[in-house]
Amino acid sequence: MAGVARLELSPRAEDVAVEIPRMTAWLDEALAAAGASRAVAEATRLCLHEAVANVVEHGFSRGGPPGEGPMLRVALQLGPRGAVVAVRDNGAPFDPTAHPPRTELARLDDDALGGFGIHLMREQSRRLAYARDGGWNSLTIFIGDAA
Amino acid sequence: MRIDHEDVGGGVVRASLTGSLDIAGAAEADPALAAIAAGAERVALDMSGVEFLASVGVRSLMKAARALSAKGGRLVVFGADDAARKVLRSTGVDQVIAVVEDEAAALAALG
Repeated sequence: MAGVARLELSPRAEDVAVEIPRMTAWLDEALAAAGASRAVAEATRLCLHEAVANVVEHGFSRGGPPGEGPMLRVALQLGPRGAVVAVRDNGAPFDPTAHPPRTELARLDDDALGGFGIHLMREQSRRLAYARDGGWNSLTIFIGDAA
Repeated sequence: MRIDHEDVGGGVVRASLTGSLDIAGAAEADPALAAIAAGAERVALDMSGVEFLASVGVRSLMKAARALSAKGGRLVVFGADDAARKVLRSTGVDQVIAVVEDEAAALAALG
């Protein structure tokens, strides 16, 4: 497994149009440099986007922590057959691993239209690990045959 | 995210999405798809230009399908690549929105 690539992003909703393409370009470069397989690349891309989308959508809806701006940090360890994605943010506590799995698939009359992101992360990863540490959410996603 | 649409006759609108349907792309696609759904009953949506589909994009498709369904219309999706089809299958969206191979199949499905 190669070294760790790191990226810091603004999780503010108004910055999404700039920050998400920047994250995608950073990820594509890291995936290419690591020689990640197509399966690992697709799973990593999906899991990272879903984790970051959760932070953007839910983490700071009541503002950031007092005295600090909203922060989102990504660390990525990649190999040809696996990846470990760590997403940390200082937003409201949010534990995706505590969410019950979707028991039903999509329905057109389903008002919630939610839970797809966590469902996809669970499906695409080997394991999800969550911790709340000193005001930070820390979600680690283990993909494929990762260390 | 680029969104195009044209009336192809017979009450059918052909729309196409180009770019990433992530939280940045969906923010642009959502209002455009809502406007298209408001002005049409049957929509064939070309996803061959969608290079990435995340759950937020799935929600965009579901919202458009729901808006069309509410007035007796229908959304049919075509041209999705393997990764996008996997997401549509995994979320079960392909059970409530018709997902077909190509434009001819989409237009046939819309009758």
